[in-house]
Amino acid sequence: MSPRRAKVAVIHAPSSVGVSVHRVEGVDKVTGAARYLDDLVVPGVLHGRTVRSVVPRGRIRRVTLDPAFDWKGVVVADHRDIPGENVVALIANDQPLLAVDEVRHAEEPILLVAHENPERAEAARLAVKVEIEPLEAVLTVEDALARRALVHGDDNVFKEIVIARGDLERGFSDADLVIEGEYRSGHQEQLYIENNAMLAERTRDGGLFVRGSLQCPYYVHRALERMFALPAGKVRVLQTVTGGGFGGKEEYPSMIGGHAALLAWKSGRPVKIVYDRLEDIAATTKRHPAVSRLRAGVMRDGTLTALDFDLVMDGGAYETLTAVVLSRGAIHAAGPYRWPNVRIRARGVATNTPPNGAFRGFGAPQTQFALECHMDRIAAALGMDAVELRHRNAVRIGDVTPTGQVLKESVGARQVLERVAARSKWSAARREIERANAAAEVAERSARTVNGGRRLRRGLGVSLVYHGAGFTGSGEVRLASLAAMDLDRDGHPRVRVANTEIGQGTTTMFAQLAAEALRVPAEFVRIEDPDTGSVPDSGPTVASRTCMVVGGLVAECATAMRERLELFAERPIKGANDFAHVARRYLAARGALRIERRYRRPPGIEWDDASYRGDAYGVFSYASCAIEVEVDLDTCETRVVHVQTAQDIGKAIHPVLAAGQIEGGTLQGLGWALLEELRWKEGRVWNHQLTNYIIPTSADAPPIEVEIVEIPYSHGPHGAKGVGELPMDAPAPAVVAAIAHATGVAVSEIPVTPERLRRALREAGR
Amino acid sequence: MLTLPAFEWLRPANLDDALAHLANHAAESLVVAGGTDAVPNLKHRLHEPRWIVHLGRLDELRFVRESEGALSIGPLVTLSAIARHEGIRRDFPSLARAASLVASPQIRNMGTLGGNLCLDTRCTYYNQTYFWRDALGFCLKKDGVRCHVVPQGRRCVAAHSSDVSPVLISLDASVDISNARGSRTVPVDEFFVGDGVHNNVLVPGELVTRVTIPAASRGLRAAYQKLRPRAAIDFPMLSVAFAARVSDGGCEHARLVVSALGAKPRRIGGLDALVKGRPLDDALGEALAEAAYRQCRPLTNVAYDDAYRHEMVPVFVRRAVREAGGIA
Repeated sequence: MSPRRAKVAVIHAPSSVGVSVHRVEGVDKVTGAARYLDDLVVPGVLHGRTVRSVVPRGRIRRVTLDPAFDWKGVVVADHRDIPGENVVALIANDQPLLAVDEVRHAEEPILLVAHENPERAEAARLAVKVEIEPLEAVLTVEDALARRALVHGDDNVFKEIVIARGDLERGFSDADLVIEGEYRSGHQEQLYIENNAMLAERTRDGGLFVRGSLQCPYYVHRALERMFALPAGKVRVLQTVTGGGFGGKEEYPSMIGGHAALLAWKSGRPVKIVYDRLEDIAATTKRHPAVSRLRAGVMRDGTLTALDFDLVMDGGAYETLTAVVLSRGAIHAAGPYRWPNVRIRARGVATNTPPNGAFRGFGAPQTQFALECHMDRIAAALGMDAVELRHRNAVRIGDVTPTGQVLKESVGARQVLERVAARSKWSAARREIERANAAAEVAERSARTVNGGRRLRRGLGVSLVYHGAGFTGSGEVRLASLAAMDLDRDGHPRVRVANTEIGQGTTTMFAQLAAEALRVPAEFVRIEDPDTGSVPDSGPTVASRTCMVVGGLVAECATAMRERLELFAERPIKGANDFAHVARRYLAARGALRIERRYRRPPGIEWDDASYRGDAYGVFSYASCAIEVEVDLDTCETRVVHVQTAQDIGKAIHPVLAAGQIEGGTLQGLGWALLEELRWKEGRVWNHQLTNYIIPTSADAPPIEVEIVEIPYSHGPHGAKGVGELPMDAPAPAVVAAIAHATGVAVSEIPVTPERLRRALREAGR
Repeated sequence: MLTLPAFEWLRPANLDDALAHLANHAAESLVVAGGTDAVPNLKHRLHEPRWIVHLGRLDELRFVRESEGALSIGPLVTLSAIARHEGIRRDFPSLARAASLVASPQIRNMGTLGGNLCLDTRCTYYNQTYFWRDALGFCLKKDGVRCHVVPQGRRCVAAHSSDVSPVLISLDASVDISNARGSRTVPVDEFFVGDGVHNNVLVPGELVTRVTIPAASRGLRAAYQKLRPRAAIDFPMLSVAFAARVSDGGCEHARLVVSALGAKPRRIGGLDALVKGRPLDDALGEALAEAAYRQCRPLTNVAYDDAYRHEMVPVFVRRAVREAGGIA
C-alpha cells in the first residue's frame, strides 16, 4: 500500500461539502455510456413530426392531406384527437397543444404525423397542406403597445406590475441631477447541446409513460393529466440524461411531450419526437426581449434619490411564463442599491411571435442590464468613478428593497464589488488604459504606426448585480416541495427528489449534502432518477432553487435518517460500512425506512401577492464583474480580453461545479452582449442554424477569473444561496461599460455587433 | 431531425474510374471529398444526387510537389495539411494562412483544397431547409425562378465563400481539370464565373486534379485578410488577398482580390498603373483601398449588413497591404 493511500485511509468520513468530489454522472458522459433520449431504442417506435404555421397570424381555412401521397402507415393527429383539454397547462393555460381555427405565431403546431420510418414521417409532414388566411400581425413591442392589431384583450398587455416605494416626486426634487435613458435587449436562444426530445408510450393500464430531455418532470406530468383527462396515478414522466436546459426545457417539454403522447395515444405505438436544431431554434422559447426606460435622480455626492423604471417585455403569442418572468425582472429592476424612492412599472405584451419563456436569469438580466448601463451614465454625468458610485449606494444589512423587503443577512454586494475592484486593480488599470488609449490617439494623429496599424482601444467596465434565489414571493410556499430519502436493501441511502441533472451538477451536489449529514462519502449515496413514478414532487429545477431549497430538504432528510439509525443502533454510526451494516439490520428488524421533509417558510419571511409587497425572496446572491475589452475602431469589433468576477453564493457546496456555473454563465452573458441576435423575416426566425445564430466558441472565450465569496445564509444548507442564474446578470452591462470606456460612446442596445457599434460611433461623430 | 436523402455511395479506386462514372452520370452525381460543406447541404436538400462519388481513395490526388520552382498541390490535400506544410508556409504564406483560417481544426482536418476551391456559394435564402425555402418561395439558385436578394435580378448573387481561392488568384495559380476524354488547364482567375448557381467553369464530368502555383509567383509579397464574426468556424464576411512583386525600384505589379461579396472573387482592376514604381507603404495601401472600395458593391446575400461590409473593404485592403509589406 502506498503511503498516500494509507494517509487517505486514516481520514475518517471526510467532509463532502466544500470539496470538489468526482461528478456522479461524469464518467458516463465522458465515456459515451450516458444514453440521451435519441439513443434509446424502443421496439415499434414511430417518429413524430409537427406541421406548423408559416405565417405569424391567421385563420386556418383548410388542412388537406395530399391525395397523391401514400398515407399508409402514417398516423395523423390534430386537436380533435385530444382526449382532455386542448391546453398546455402552466399558469394562464392559454396555449393550445394544437391550433384549432387560428394561429397566433409562426411555427405554431397545427397537426402531427408519425411513421416508423423517419424519412416517411418527414415526407408526410411536407404532404400536409395548410391554407391560412393571413391576418395583420403584431411583431414588435412597439406595434403591440400601439395596438397595430389587437391580439390580446383590448390593449395587448398580458400583465402589468407596479412596484412603488417612497415618494418619487420628492426623490426627484431632492436630486441635483436627473438622468434619463432607454435600453434594449433582444431574444436569446438557450442553445443547449441536446435539442428537445421526448418519447411517449401508452401503458397497459390505460395511462401514459413519457420520457425526455427536460427540467421539470412534474410540469410535464400535470400538463399530461389535463390533456388526456387522466388521474395523476396513470401518468409517469421520467427525465432521461439531459444535455443542457438553461430554462429552455422548463415549460416547452410539456408541449412536445403532449404531442408525442397524443400520437402514441392514437396509434398505440411508442412515439419519439426529436427536434433538429433548426426546428428547436425556430419554434421553442427564447429570452424575452425588453425595452427599459429609466429616469434616475442623484445628488452631487452620488447619493441616489429616485428611480422611475418603465419596463416592457415581449411575451410572444401566449402568456405562458411571461407574468412571472416580468415579475422577477421588475423586482430586480432597481438592482442591489439603496433607492429611497422608486417606481417600477412593468408590462408584458403580446406579439405574434413564438412565446418567450424561461431562460437563465428569468427577466433579471434584462432589467439589470438597463439599470447597470444607467448607473454608468449617472457616474459619467457626475464625473464620479463607476465603482465608487456603486459602492456608495450598494445595499447592506438593514437596507430595504423596492418591495419593502428588509435585507436581514448575507448581503455581499459591497464585498463582491470590493473584491473585483481589488483583483482587477480597478483604478490603476483604468488610468493605465486611458494613458495607453491617449497615446495611441496621439500616435495615430501624427501618422506614427502603433498596434500594427490597427486603431485599437482598450476599456474596463464594471457591473454589480443581485439575484433572488428560489421562487418569487409566495411561490415556494405554494410549491410546498417534498423530498424523501429511503434505504436500498443493501443499506445504501437513496435520495428521492424530482430535481434534474441538466449539466449543472445537481446529483453530485445532492449526494454531497446527503453524505455530509450521514457522515459517509458522497459516492455511497444513491440518487433516484427523476421519475414521477418513484420520486415526490420536490418542485421544478429552475430559479436557482435546487441547492438552496431542495438541497436543504435533502440535508434535513439525511440528518433525520442518521438520527433514526443511531437511535436504533444505540450508538453513533462511523462511516459507510458501518452505515450499511446498521441500515441492513434496521431493514431486517423494522422494515422500510423512509424520511420525508416538506418545505416550510423560514420564520420572518412574508409576502403579499395582492399588494406586491414583502420578502420577494428569502435571500439574494450578489455578483460583480470587471471586464476588459479591446475595440477595433476600424472594424468596430469588440474582443473581450479578460473577465474578473466575484460572486457571493453563500457557500460553494462543490467549488469546481460552482465555478463552472459562473464561467459558463459569464460566457453565455458575453454571447448575449456581443453576438447573439435573432433575425426575423415576416415573423419567422431565419437564422435558426448554428452557422448564423452564433454563440462564442472556445476560441472566443476570454480568461475568466472567478472568486467565490461565501457569506452564509442561515436557511440555506451550509449557508448556500443560489448560483445558477446569477452569473448571467453581470457580464452584459460590464461589456457595454468597457466599450464606453474604450470609445467614449455608451451604446444602449445589445448585442453590440460591429454593425451596431459602427452606427453608434458614427452618430457620436467618431 | 434533418436527415440525409437516400443516395448510392461510390468510392472509385482511382481517378479513371471516377471520371468514367462521371462521364455518364455527372448530372446525377455529387462529388465529395471531405464532405464538410456537402453534408449539411445534402441535409437541406440543396443537392439531391442519385450517387455520391467519394474521392477518398484517390491517393493520386493527394500530393504536394515542387517542379522547376512551381508548386503543385493535389486537390485532396487537407486544409490542415496545407496550413502546416513547411514549404507552403515558407514560400506561399498567404495560402497557408488562408487554409488555417477556414472553419475549425476538425473541419480543416476533413476539408480539402479542392473542396474549398469548389465550395458552393452561400446565401441567406439558399442555405435553408427545403421547408423554409418552400414557404418563402424557392429562389433561382435552387428550385425557383426569382432572386430574393435582387428581386429583379436574373443572375444568382450568392456569395463565393472560399478562403483559398482569392489567394490562389492573387498568386496567379492555375487548376488542371480532367474528364474522361482529357484535361485542360485554366488560371484560377478564370475558373470562377459570376453566377452563384454554378460559379465555376467545371462542366459535368470534370474534376479538378491539380492546383499549380507558378515559379514566377515565388518571392511575392503576399497577404490574406479575413473578416468573420468569431475567432473560428465562420465563413468570411469579407476576404482580401493581395500579392505584389517588389524590387528596389518599388512595386512592379500587384494583384488584389476581394471576395465573399458576390458570386466570384473580384480582382480589382487598374492596379498596374496604380502600383508601378511605388513603395509598398501605407500611401499605396490607401490608394488600393480606395480603388477596391469603388469597385466593390456588397449585397444582402449573407447575414451581415451590406453597408458595413462595404466600409470594411478599404480597412481590410489596407491591412492586407501592410501585412504583405511587413509594415509593423
